[in-house]
Amino acid sequence: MRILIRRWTSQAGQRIADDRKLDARRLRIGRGTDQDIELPDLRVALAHAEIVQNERHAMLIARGRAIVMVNDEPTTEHKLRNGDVIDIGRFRLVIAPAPAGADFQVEIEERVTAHDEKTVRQRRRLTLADAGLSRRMPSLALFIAILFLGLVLPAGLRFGFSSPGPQPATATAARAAAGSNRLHADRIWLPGTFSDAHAYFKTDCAKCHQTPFASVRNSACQSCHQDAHAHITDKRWLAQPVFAQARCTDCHQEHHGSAGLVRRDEALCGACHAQIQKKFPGSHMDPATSFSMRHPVFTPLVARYQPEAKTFHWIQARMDQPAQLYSQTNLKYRHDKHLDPGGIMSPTGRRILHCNDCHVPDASGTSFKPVSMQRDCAGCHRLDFDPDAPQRTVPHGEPQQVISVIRDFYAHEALAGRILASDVSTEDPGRPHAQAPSSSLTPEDMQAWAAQRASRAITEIFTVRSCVVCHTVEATADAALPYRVLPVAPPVARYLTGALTFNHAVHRDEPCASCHAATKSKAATDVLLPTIMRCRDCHGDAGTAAMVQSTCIDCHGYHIVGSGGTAAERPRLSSISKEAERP
Amino acid sequence: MAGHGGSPRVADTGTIPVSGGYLAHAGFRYLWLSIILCVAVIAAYCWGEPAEGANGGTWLGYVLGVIGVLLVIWLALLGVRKRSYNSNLGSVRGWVSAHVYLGMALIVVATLHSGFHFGWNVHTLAYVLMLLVVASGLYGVVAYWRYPSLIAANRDQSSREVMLAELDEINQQSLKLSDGLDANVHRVIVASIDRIRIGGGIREQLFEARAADQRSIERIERELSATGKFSTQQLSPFLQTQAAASTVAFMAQEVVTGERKSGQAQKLLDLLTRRRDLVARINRDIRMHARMQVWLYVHVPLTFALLAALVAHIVCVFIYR
Repeated sequence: MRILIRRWTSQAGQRIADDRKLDARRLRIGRGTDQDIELPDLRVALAHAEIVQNERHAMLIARGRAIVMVNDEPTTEHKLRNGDVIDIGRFRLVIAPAPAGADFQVEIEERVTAHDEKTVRQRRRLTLADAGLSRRMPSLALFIAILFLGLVLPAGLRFGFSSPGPQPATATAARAAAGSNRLHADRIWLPGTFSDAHAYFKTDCAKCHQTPFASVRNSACQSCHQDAHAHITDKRWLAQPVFAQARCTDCHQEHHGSAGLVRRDEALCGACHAQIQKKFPGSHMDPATSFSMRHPVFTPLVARYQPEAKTFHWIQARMDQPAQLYSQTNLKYRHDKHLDPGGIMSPTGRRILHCNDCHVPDASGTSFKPVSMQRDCAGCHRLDFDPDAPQRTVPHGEPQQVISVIRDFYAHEALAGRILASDVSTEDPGRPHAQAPSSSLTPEDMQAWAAQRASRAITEIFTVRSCVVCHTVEATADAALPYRVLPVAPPVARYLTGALTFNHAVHRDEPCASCHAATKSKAATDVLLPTIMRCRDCHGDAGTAAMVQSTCIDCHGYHIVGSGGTAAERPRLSSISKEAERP
Repeated sequence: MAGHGGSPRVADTGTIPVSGGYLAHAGFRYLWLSIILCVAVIAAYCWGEPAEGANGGTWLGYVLGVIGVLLVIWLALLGVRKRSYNSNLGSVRGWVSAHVYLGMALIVVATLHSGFHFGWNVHTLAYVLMLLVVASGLYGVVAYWRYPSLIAANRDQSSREVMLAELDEINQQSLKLSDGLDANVHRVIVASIDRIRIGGGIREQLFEARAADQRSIERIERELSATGKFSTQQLSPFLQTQAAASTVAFMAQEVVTGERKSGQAQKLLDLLTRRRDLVARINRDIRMHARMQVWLYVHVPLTFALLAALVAHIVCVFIYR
């Protein structure tokens, strides 16, 4: 077996080949000096391995129990081919294509020099930095990634790549517009829970945040909430900064859930109302700081009748001024009699009445329908006028109508010949002649009879039996219209003004009498409103223990001026002094 | 590695000097400062109680936010301060002391600033990153308190460089000795040297050899002592894993069987026993250093993440005022 051994050495940076030819049956490899290929490395056995030529090919055989790495695999025997790489110690043997005149060629090279090997050993990974951990790169990567995803991308998508465009006019349009920008990267800026009311456009930040670095403008809110009313009417006061510079977001804060949408704290109202006279000189209001400690007395609307003008003037009477605390409604009514626990006389016998027999809750449940003569009184207070015709009644309306109905009735009776003999009496000018049969009566007799009967019935119904029971009746000099009924104050749904929203419905489990002293009221002029002390029995300030915690806006509104739906419920002083309507 | 082993200092902890109790610096001055800060902001929070609910947008929320961001910036500046050796802005020890205590106070300030509102947003991201940074810093405090003395005890007046040099020396000596014994012993020694594991990857540095390896070593040692025989087949699974410990067993076996020139074999056995202990000590040294410093590789990148999240938080809050 002819072998070419080419040993590469490195000298001054140049590789130098040292060729040696050998003809032997076995090629011995080891550290020993007697070996054919001597590998001076202490890790190599003295006789480490041999290359032996068989009939066909060369075999690498490890000697003793040594293990040789061939092509990075540990082995003890290996059939050699061209290109095989044998690693022993720090040396590398490569089987190269056999040159002319040789059976094969071995190239030997130190993989690493002894010096390098020591350096490599020193290059062990002894610290975390050696093991590849770094502070700088992850710091930079995280900084850039978070800044990009958290700020640059959302801001770019919001302001850079698409213009917000005109504000959609309707909620549906807004939803459609929001749907066109599906990424909504700026949602990661969303600081808290959305209110239910605004949740439908919660991915469209631009709906409210129209201009970057500018606070949410009132116009953004008013693009939907056009009907947000002012707090007061006085234009001088509205020009003051507290109103002129007020922002919706002062009181209405989004991103705090539904509960946070309306500020409820007393301090907000107290900022002005604690020293209302100082802030707004000339205000008719008393200072208010808290419900339990300092709250103005109730000032219910009471009617004052103006006889000359025949109108009602409504004033706010103070609950702490008993002298003013009466209402001239021109109606006669005794609550105590009607609510007598033993019952009140009615055409069908004694009848026990309850509050809700007359005071029927309205559709909202918060207040009551106006008391109606037809519905609530007529069952007992019948408007018949002739004992012989008890089913005949006058309408509850204008005196003119009442008088006409009565006169027409008796004229018709006379014409129909229903003048009874017993009715005719010379002694009594009001009655036809007793003995005269109706057929023999002259038209003048019949007319006189009818006029007399009518006159008697009119006097009776106006001044004795019916009208006068509830109304104030005045006699007139006019023969055609001998009586006049004074107007009755129109019903008012809310006797407390000041945007008060007392809700009867939520208090329905409380008996009426626990607040309203109706059973002791002897006159219709009584004001049956309880004082604020009664409210304070149950309601306390926010934070009060063992009380219903109530803040200003539990009873009062802010956007109160001309608020559409409730205008009818909240008569203002200016609109009430109008011609009183007939009941 | 610069700064490793070469100096006689007890514990090399990177660039932060921990000799002396920085925690007790200036009579716990910064601990008291932090406590006062915490008490003050908690009192303000309880007293303030805004009607619309506590959040970062109230006046107190802004105040707490400003305090928080100033704290974060100042805390992050420790990295600058400790690199500027000519600075006269107080001692690094004082800075570290304040860094630790004010960093913990930051949790209180930032939590109250949040008003306990959390969500899947960039604001809570900043908060969580802040918590992670402080938590990793607290680990660092514990690590710097615990490991230096353990490292010193483990090194036992030596240094890592000396130990590594000693290891090389032992390896060379054992190769020479084994060469004089016989080929088999030499081969085993060579294999064992190749398989000595010093340091390694992150996991190898942080954690000890897995229990499974330990068990296999024990099993092989038992087997060797029981049969008194040795073969490549029996050794190979062990050679694949850990060498040092079992090489001792092997040599012990060689000595016990008495077929060797017992003087040399005994010497080799002693060397290998020393080597085993030395390797264990070096690895323990590396492990304790790694554990002492690993938090910095979390603390610093997360600090930069926090700074980015903080920028995003502040800017977006003002974009959408």
